[in-house]
Amino acid sequence: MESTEILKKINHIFATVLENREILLSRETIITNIKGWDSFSNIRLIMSMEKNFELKFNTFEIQSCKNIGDLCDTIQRKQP
Amino acid sequence: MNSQLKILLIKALKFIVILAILDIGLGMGVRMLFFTQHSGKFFRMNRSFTKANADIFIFGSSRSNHHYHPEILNDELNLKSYNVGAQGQQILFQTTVQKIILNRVKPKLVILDVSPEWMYKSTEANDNLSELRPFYFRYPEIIGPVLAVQSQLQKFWLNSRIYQYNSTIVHIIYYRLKPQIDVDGYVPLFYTMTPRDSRSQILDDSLKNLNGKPKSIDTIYENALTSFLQNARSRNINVVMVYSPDYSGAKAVGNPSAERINAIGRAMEIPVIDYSDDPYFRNHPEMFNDIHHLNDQGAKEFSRQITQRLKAYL
Amino acid sequence: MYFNTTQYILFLPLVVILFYLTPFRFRWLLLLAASYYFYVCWRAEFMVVIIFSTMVNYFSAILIARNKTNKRNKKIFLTIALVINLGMLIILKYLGFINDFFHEIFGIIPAPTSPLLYLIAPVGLSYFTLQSLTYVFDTYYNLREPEKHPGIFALYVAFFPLILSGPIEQSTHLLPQFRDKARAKLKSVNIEEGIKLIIWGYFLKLVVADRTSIYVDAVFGNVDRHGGITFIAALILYSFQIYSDFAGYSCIAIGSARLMGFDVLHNFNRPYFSQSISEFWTRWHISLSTWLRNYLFNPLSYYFMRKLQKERYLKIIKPELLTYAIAASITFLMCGIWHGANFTFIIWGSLHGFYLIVDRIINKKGGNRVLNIIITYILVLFAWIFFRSENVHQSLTVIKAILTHPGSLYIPFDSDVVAPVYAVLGIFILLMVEVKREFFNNSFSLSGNKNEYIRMASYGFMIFLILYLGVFDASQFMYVKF
Repeated sequence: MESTEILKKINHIFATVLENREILLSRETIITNIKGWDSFSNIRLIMSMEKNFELKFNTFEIQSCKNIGDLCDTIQRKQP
Repeated sequence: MNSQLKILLIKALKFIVILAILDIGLGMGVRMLFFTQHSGKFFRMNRSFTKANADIFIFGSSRSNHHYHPEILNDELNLKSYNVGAQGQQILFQTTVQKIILNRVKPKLVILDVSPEWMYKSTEANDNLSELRPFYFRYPEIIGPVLAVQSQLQKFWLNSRIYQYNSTIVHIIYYRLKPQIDVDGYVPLFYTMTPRDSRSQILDDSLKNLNGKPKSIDTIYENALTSFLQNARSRNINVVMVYSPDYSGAKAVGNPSAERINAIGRAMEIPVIDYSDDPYFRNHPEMFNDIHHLNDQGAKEFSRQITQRLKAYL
Repeated sequence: MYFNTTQYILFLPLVVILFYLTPFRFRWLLLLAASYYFYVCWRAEFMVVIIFSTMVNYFSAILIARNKTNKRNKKIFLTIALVINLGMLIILKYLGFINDFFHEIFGIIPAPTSPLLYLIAPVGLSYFTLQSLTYVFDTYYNLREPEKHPGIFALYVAFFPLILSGPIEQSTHLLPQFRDKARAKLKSVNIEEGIKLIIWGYFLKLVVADRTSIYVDAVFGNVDRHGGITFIAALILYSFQIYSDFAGYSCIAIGSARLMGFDVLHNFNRPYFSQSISEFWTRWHISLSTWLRNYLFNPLSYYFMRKLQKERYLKIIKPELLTYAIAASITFLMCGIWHGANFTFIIWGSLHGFYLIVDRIINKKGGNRVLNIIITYILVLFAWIFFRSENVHQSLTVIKAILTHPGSLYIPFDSDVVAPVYAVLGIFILLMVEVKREFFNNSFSLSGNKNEYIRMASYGFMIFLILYLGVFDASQFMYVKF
């Protein structure tokens, strides 16, 4: 999958889980600053992404993602 | 020179100037506010320093303040008396204010109302010395050394005109709203202690003693007491020590601190009148406001009794 | 040395001046020496613990990094490091408590008489242990390379502004700053910001915290004598006491670091304006809650989330909710334990965990802002009962009094009556400033004004308030006990 496609999919996931249709993410968006993000929605976001991209994150990967760009790159790396 | 350093030094200079202006300006304001008081402990202190003129001065803590009725002394002895008692203040305070007052007037008699535990080191009593801070600017040589007992750095902070009035505002506001009655320094109490009151207060006291640190005699206090007595002596002023009535059972004997006080009294041939365990007051609890203080009725009775004893020293 | 002593007021400027005079290469040495001196002023014996802890973590990180590719070895070294760090913490802080507990519950182990069981925990132990663990974890999670320079690492562990009571820094945030040459240049804005923070810290400590403690201690020192109204008054004062004591300390710590150009994580963000307990924990003791979230809550929730996803029978409860509940319970239980060796802290922590889970289940959004703030404040206040009480029995006495007999407001005897009035005055000033910052932040600012004279006058006025209203005998910062 191309990184722009990944970004679009991530945007959709965040919009659904955080119940915010207007959300627009860019590579620079810092995850913890996103409106509605907290430690609970975090769990649901990760579950949703794992389901949608059919992969499993490990703790290193989650801890090291500070912004959406990091997230996209990680997902792209893990693509089969 | 590094440009940032230059900026910093200029800023620092500006800041110091602003601080100095604020300290002097606001300092004048708080000082004025302080000296416009018309009642309360600071007002009484100021009056005793600057105006009070009497033949008999009574020094001591809150017990002195609430126990000696000047009008009764005046009537019985035909001499003007003035009550300089101050709540929470022990010997260091007494010696200091005595110095200030005796620099200005020469009474015939000085009474020092003492409490048995006065020779024990007390951080509370030392902390209360801070009430002298507002008067530091007037009597620096007398008050400075005493404040240093509290902590050495008082010297530094006292340069601030604002710090001199630290912790005075609540008092000022309170006595503006609820003026305190006093008769030549004497402050009457009007409550009558009930048996329940005395029981619970005695219990509180003993709990405090159990939980408190072991008591030790403070040589600075001993020296201060000697100083006090000496100051009066050297000016040919009669001086008498009195243990006024107490309902808590704190006796003037069998107590190392009181023994020291008595010993100093004996050594300097100063009479000590002991009412701490007086049977009359023990049997009249209604004369007490609380276990350590007489109420107005008790004060009048005590003043009557004490004047009879004082006649011998005038 | 405590922050509110002349010693510190002389020590800090001296260190700052020496800092800027020292060539960059040797600054770590100066700061390390200053930090060790600062620590030794407490008790020389404590040095052993800090140096031991430093060495353990220094070598653990290097060994972990060397085994980057070998997952099994990596885990072993991490585990060893964790065991030693936490083991030290447990033995030095909790052994007496654990011994008492087993003695009471099981009757085994003879009554605690050995003084060894009540070793005095080195001051700051709970803080620098966590701060060091961020380093070990971050190396393990490949977030950073280990710090090869032992002196700089030792400085990270013992850095004097933070050593006593935090803020608990992150190795990815603070450690690089010690190597940052650009940051180390003298900038007057750093000096000004640092001084501003320190002044505000002293205001919080000397004008608010120290005044409130007298009344609170008097009430809680005599629990059987007071009624509900008194306890509510004392609790409200206590909520401000603990906030201003700790936030004041943190401000002085952050300000001190800032004087030397270091940027330290903030610890408080006007917590009592939170609209939910969830928000409260993003505003209260931020460095600790961040630590707990990164190293305890997140790993726990990922672990349970995966495990529970597979369970088919969870029809009623959503797996993510159950995950949250388990992770939050464990995390806040640990949070409570970290604060002290007493059941009251455990109850306090668990109570907050419970609040969060219930909040999550109810999942209400929006509502009146002021009402939310009041409700959240009341919940926090209730939890403070346990935090402040000496034991569980006392807490229950307090709660019973509040619910069953209000009594009349306790007014202290003689000179003690003045302190609470000053406390209320101080709290009033504090609230004025915080309300302005929280709700009217965009309007005219005094201390943030563009005009430097107005700014400086506002700092001067703050100093005036401290000199006029503050308490000037050295009393202890509360959070140092942890």
